[in-house]
Amino acid sequence: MTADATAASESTVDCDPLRTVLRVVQSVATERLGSLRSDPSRVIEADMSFDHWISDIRLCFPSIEISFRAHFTSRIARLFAEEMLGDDEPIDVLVCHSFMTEYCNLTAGGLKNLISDVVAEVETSGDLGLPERKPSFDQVTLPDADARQSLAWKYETVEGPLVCVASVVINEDELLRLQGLSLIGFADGLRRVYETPPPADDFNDFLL
Amino acid sequence: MAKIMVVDDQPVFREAMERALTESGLTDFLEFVEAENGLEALGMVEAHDDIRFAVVDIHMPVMNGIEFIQRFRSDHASRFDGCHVFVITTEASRTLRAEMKELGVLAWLVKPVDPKLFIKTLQLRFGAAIDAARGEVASQ
Repeated sequence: MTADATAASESTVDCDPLRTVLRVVQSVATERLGSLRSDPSRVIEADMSFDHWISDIRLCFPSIEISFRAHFTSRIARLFAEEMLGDDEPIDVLVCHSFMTEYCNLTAGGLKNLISDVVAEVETSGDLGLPERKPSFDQVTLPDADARQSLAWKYETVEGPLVCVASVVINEDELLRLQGLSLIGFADGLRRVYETPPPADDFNDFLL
Repeated sequence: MAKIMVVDDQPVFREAMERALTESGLTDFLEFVEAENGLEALGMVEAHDDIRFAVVDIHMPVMNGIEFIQRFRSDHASRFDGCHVFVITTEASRTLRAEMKELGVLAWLVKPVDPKLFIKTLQLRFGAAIDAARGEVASQ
């Protein structure tokens, strides 16, 4: 897979509010990957032409749509599954692949929870889709480097790169009408919520 | 043998829970059973009257965790009363959490959750129920 993609950065701050939103997506995805991850970096070139799978998930709200997709191989999925489950016993390949769909689920769930602190409508009218896994075939096109609404990055592993792509579509008119928020206001709010430690939650802490 | 049921559409999460339960020794007296959606879980509840613990995801195909818990409670009230129900999900809706707490869900934990930590806490907080299950096996 060869791609012109956008440079990744550790910072969630960007002059373009859409880029700020995408940086938050990237940061949440990085946090959910576990300790085997490398720092996210620009996608230059990676050969995933054999055993190339996609797991993806979509978040849909009246004014915001976010999709997150992970390109992986079975060997990469096994690497992460073994980190989670241990390698004492053999792990079925479907269970390994399930790690990647669960990874998409965790990333999208984390994003939804952040967004719901900025946009109240998410609590009642949002929809978090179910993650899907499928063979990629020829779906290897990554966004151009200057694409505003998408960001692609990779994590290097000993089994090759795990490539992630996030896309954001925001209906600014609806955002303003429903929430009284501009795109800049939404992006800034999302960044601030992400960077602020969550408050203690009694119900969530009931057991753990 | 009393049972602990994990309801989640992702095999990797069910596998992680099963391994953590086995490692903890709980499966010596609590049989691990699993379901990949709410409908399968309802079938489990109908087939077994001794499910003492249920760990339930919310976002699942076919039947989600909310509907499963509601139907578990309404259609099998006595079995629901004898079961400790926990939700482990990516969903953090305060509204849903409050509704489920009213129904009798004991905890709502937002993923990612470490299964080993969950099991240890389960042993600490629900020792009496676990001891009862252990006692049933010992007396057989």
